[in-house]
Amino acid sequence: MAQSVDISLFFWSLAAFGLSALLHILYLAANRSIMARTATAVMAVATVLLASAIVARALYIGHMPVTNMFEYMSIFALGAALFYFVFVFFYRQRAIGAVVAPVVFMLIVSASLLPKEPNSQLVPALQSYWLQIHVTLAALGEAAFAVAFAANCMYLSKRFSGRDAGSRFPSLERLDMVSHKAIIIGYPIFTVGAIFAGAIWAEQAWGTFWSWDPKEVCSLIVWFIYTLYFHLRFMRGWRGTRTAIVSMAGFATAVLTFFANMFLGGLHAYT
Amino acid sequence: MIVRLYRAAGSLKTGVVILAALTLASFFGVLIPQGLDPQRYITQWGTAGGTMLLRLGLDRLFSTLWYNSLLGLFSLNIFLCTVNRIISIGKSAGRWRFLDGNQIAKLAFHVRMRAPGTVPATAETVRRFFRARRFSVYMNGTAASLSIEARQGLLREVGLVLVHLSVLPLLVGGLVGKMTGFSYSQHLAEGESVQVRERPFSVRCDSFAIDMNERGDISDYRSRLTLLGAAGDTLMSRTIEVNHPLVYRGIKFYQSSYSVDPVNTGAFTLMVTGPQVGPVGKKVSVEQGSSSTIESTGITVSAVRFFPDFYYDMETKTPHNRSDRHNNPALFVTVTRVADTLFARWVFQRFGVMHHTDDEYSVSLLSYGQKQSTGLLIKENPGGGIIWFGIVFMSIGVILVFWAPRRRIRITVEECGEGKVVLHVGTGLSHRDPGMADYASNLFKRLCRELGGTIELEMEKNSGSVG
Repeated sequence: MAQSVDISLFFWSLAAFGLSALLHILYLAANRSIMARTATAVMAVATVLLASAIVARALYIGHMPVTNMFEYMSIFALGAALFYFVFVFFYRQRAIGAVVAPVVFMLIVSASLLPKEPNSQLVPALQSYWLQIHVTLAALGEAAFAVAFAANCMYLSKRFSGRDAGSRFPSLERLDMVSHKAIIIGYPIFTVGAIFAGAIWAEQAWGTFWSWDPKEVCSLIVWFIYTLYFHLRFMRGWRGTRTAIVSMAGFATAVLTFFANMFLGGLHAYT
Repeated sequence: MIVRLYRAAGSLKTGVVILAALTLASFFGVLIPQGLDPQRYITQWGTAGGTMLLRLGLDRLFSTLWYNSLLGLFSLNIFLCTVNRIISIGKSAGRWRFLDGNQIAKLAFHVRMRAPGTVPATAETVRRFFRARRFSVYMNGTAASLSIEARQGLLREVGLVLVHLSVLPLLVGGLVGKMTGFSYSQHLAEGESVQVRERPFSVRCDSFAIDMNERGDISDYRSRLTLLGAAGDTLMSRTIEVNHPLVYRGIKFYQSSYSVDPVNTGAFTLMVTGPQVGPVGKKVSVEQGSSSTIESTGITVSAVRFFPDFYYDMETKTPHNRSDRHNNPALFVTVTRVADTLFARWVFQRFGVMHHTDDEYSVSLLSYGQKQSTGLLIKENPGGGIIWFGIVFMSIGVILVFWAPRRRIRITVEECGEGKVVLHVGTGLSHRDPGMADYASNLFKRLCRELGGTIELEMEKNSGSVG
């Protein structure tokens, strides 16, 4: 399969995610449910296009495309889009899409700005099935945190601005619940995928479970923050604004983790 | 005093404070480059800032006593918290507190329903309904009024204990590995062997290869290793690659790096052209420090001296070797016939033939054999198994904690005449499970259908009556 196919599909998905984000925002403003259904349908098309782009790229390069920032960002955006559907269909939180959809769009736009040349020859250290497990799960975990972040933003804007975009924002309790649910989904995935799968692979490839590499420490901080979040929420009864701030700090660190190898170096600096 | 200390050490508040301190400290470890030359911190942060930074050990944060003490305190706190939790679970395990209708009505989510049937028959249907959904069901009361409690969530409790206790093996495993294990790098040329530290066997590198793809990118590093016993007997032989170490009696041999021998090389292949050998020239193979004679010409070619990274010092006007890396390979070659020196110059592999107008002969260095050494990481980690134990148990624990349900439903069944019963069904909406209201609403509706009854009232605390 030619490489251009996956890039074309990627840009089509970008356009569809953009349209979906716009429709979601219009839905909040216009309060028309047909608009919400259309926005979700467009989101579904965009997700299928992005998934197809990733599959096409995998077929072209011969392995799961998780070896550079563009590919990671694409999986990250796909994960966030999939969690959108979890919340829309399982938890019936269509309005949360108004924040998740723009977040997915921003992720995909960020991915589009990154170099897209695939790594057809992986360096020997990356030739392991743990690459797929570790990177994919880390991306999915962080995607769930991104959804939580979106709900936190919505919560804080509703809580402090007093305006709730045509009354279509879910209640503060619902937003708190959505954020909490997203973290509940993301935390185990992140723990097992980013921290433990990474440690097991590191032991196989580098001979040590933990090297205090900047990216490792950043991931550990993310884990510490969300662990704090749970303890403050469950045991100290923190809710609403305070947990939203802790959760946002967790996601901000997750973003730092994403870039940690680029400006802090370390063992994860492959490119 | 001891009791107060124990309570403080095992309190959640202490745990939260330590975790927050660890989070903050770890940020320093990420943002401040670790392990640099102390002078660089002074230069970058100024004398006062740099000195303070060095005193606090922020240049090597993760090996400082205070950071590791925080980790130690954290594990002690977790251990004590978990012990307290296990004790409280044990105490409450056999005790059931059944609620009456009024108490259930005060729960966060409450439904009142009316159904045909007797109290025992309805209670039996309720029991089967919840048992089918993997609840443990307990009943207490009379034929006129029964209290029922349906519980689900043992796995979640198990998960919580696993998550917290598994932090210990992770830290202990790391500590054991650090204190009792060893790890060192070893370079081995092909055919070379070396004794493994603290073990009665040695490792030999039979071969080392760097695989390239068709575009010249490195695709793999491979070393064929043989482990030899004290008597020279073969214990084990295997090819290792990155990600595929050799494991023998607790020692792991990792393919870690490689190097090219800067001094010892294989034979040089030279192209010599000149009057005696013709303009096309002759290929000659010469070992370093030796000579080779071109047949029927009487010409001898000698490889005198080799620099892997040649540079010419313009001040001293002498050639030098800059490094051990093969960046600019150069060979000093002489071409002689009997007592006459026909050519005596440095030839460079990267620059082909360098003509000198006063030379009758020219020589170019086509290639030379590079003797590569494999770079092994030889490691013993007695804490590895303990760490694995921690990883497996925490992974299982974290999945159980967040994905296994934890629910407690309370029900009363009372006779209300006309062959009917009234049921109060309720649950507390724990902030642990924010989806519980939706779940409970659906579950109670199903229960009502199963009983063939009708819902008279559905009440969610904080949101008012919705039914």
